[in-house]
Amino acid sequence: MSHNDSFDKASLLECLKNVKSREARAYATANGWVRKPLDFGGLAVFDYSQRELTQLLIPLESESNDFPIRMLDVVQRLAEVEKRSVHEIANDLLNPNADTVRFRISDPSISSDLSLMKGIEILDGARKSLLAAAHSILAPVPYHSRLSRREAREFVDQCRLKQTEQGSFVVAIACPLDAVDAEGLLDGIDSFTRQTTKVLMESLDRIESRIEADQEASLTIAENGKVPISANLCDAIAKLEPPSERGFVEISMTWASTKPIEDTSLRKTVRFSEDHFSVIRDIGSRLRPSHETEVANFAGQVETLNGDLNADGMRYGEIVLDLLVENELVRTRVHLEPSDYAKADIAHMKGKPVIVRGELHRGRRTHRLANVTRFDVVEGVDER
Amino acid sequence: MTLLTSNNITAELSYAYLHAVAAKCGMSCSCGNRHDDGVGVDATIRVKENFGTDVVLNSFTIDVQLKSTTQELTLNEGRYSYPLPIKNYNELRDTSCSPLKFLVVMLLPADPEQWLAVSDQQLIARRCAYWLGLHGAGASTNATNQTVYIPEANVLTPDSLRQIAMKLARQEELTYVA
Repeated sequence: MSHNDSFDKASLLECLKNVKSREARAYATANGWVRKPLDFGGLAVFDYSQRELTQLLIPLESESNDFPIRMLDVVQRLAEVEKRSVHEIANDLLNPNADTVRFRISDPSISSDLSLMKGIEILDGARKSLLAAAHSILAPVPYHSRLSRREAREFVDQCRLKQTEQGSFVVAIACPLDAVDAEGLLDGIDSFTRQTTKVLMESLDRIESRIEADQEASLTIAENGKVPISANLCDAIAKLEPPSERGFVEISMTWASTKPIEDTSLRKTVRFSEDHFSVIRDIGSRLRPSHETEVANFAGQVETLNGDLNADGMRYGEIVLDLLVENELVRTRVHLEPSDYAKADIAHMKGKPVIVRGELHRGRRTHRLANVTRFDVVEGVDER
Repeated sequence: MTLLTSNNITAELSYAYLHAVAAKCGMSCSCGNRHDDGVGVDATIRVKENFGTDVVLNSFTIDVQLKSTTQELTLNEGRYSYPLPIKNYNELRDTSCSPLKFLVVMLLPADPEQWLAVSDQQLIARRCAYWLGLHGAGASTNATNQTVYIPEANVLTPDSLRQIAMKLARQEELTYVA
């Protein structure tokens, strides 16, 4: 597929009206273009340092009538040189002060659409990978029991989902460099965002490289000078798995043109194919504590009742709940005494949510809620 | 009745002429659409050539406003008078826009049978096209058309197109003499 395939010219021209000439010039300078001393007819002339007969003519006046057309020409030339789509380039020009991470899912089963549930899962995986990386720079540990640090959530809240780009299924997320004011919280001169995006790409690179070298076991061992790979990041990557065995996911980063990256050894693109995902899931399982408990109130829905009759003819025993834990529904088994079991029965029949307090044991596959001290049906909610 | 009207046909022939001349020079030519037409661009020629060490541009695009006519234009003192719609005139003269732009007017015979002749020996397209730069031309108070004067020497040929490209590559504008 060429990098200047057909695109919706009208909507692209409309977008390009919002590009600032200064920012386009800064992008060019940050990406290997050298401005010539003389402008021509309101156009700044740039030579590409790495290839002959390759120039950019960037319009200087945003108010000129042909600004969008001239900027389209700029975008097309950049797309040719960088071998990326015009939409990716346009999105980057519109967000010069943001690191943009792209999750590209390529799969033979995806022709023009993707199942809704898979699409939602991919978006969730993208969000959680950023959240996991942000937590890792705050606390470099192999597992974050709660992804709830204020600064990390604030960072993700500030990230923007960009316009759909052509080419497979692409989720593009712009991470503003000024998303979080974390002064005094972190070492180094880089912003919270830049540290997060660097950790994300370094971690992804390390995961892919070690798996390729059959050294995946080393990912569970702490290394000096490196932020540990977290189970949370592994779980997030697992959500990006393409629908079929021949698919792959490619995660790429475009650094903000206003703050070029200094470490040029950092990979900008990492690809995971089907072979990698089972290993990544396994690594995530090994990084997560096998038994981890948390006592709290949880909201949820009764899914199944598997109890038995006691000697008094009353039902008791195991039920299965879908509990809301950190914005995610997790299937959880609970053992209830007859009085609470009766409430669960009512909630199940009437489709009402429940509040339950107990000790949540997170397992590798199945969770369990023990020592239940509260089980209440939430009234005042419409029946199913 | 055919798919294309007579006006459509002359427009397509003028584009074909431009495309052929550009290709002979080793330049690509692409058709514009209504969005390009909104800024006076019917076609875009892409130039990629090293014209010499004293030349600034070596990779650039030139926008073309294409017109065609079967009318016999008045020739006076070596210049053809052509009534250019005022919208196009203002687009081409606009100094806030790129100077890499010019007008091409294709003159065709009145008889459509004379427009194109093909045999196993040759392809003949009649008659020819002329070019004109209008960047920075004076403002007009007309409401409908502005007459522009095209030197009869300005036949658009592969050689003249290359000369135009070299001039622009040296950052020299295609100035207009009213």
